[in-house]
Amino acid sequence: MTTKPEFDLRATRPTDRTIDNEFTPARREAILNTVLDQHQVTAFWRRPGPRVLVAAGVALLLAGAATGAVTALRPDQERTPAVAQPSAAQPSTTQPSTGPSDDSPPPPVQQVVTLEQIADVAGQREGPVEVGPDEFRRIVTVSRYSDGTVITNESYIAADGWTWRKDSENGRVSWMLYRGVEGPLDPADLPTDPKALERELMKYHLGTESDTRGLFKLIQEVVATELAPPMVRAAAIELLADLAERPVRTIPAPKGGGETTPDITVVQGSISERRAIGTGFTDKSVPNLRYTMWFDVRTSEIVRTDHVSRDGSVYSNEVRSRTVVDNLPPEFVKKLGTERVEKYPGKR
Amino acid sequence: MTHKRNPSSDTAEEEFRTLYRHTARRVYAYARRQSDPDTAEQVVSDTFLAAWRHWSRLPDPVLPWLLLTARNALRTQWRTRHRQARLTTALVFQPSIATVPSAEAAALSHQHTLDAVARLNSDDREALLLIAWDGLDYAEAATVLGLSRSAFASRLSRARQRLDALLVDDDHHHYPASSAKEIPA
Repeated sequence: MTTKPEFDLRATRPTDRTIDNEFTPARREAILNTVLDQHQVTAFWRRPGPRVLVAAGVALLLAGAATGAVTALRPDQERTPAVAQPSAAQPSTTQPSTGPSDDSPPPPVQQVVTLEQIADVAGQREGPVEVGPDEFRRIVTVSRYSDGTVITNESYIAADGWTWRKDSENGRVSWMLYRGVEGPLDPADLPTDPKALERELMKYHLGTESDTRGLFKLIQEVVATELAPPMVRAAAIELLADLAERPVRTIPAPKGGGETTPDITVVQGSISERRAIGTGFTDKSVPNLRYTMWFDVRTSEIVRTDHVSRDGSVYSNEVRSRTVVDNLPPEFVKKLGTERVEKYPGKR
Repeated sequence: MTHKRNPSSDTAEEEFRTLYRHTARRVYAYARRQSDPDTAEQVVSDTFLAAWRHWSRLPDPVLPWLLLTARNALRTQWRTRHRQARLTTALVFQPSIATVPSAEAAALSHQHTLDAVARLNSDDREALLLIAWDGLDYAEAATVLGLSRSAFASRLSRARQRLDALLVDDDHHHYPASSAKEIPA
């Protein structure tokens, strides 16, 4: 082995002038301005806590007095954001794991993990699991219902979203082949800025429930799908963090009369020995109702979702395994084939 | 290059502008050698938007973080477009000949090296270029690739061996006796 190739390679590095011929100074400046313009929206959206707001307000007033001019506070700065409170109902969990289940280094040990930190993890990773063009993401989940039903789901998801799926329930098996993006939302096309993402998601909100509940469910679609790009997932989790800080108010229910008091809370916990942070939607005007998403603090992946309906019935879906494989199992090929044509052959 | 990130909103934007002006080309060049110009520009935008959002939490040095973020952004672009753009010769494999005294000979040698690099697999190529073009050290390059330092060192060692072998094998084909040769623009 010689060092000559690397020496030659350094000498071939594109110069600034070469790069400027294609990525011109004008284009660079245009992108910089776009980034800063987007941040103006993001800065507005990222409201600081009440103490900082008070200090900022005092500083503005003092500055105004000194110069003879007074700058009015923006209306949003006068509200006191709600502080996220732990959910009263604790999940059935095991003790936190003492070590990582994959090869990635664990985050620093902390007493409390925030959603913002989960968003950072989400934005840094190469998606929940990297999938090549000829590979499949294999996901195994277990769904449990309060009537005792347990369904094991084994899915193979290709890079383009097509999904080969087998559901097993008490010995009965059903097979499905479908394009993974269900409904109008395509996570790949969503904005990567949280405020822009909120505006986009609201376009899909039907208006039959509160904005908070609608957004929570849409965010759940985005972060739970295996197809969302890392930046989109990060933006969705940041949006969730912001929703958790907004004031809790009782408002008329959009449909059916009555009132609704939507609230999003954050709780620390663990799921099957994986340290997790749970984000829950509740409606204080509706007893029992609760939707919770649990994020693995190491990977930002959804490890479990829990639904408690107003009648008290419970549903949970827990991810047991996420891996990447080179091909479909023979059983799946036999039942569903490899051609991308939607199939729902039914139960065996 | 290190940056002290001041949380004050007045200086933060100025510091960010400085960071951008010092590193945007580097991020573009990194993305461009793996994609087309439009994708590379989008990657620059996504990368620095993420940097701005995480301003107070960026590490020092920041370049490995930027390249790792750019790498993730590239993969997002590829998944969105269901393809990986092939490397082109439009920019990244054009030799720099501006100041070399014997420009023609240098250009030929550089093109020879670049041709060999183009024939490496993507893992080998990326390992070499993170060191040779992006100026990262082993630990920083390992961070960008999500590897341990020792794993990266092994990958780099294998990449150097393969490049060396390609250059030795091709040497007699790329240095003919006649010197007159037009260098493509």
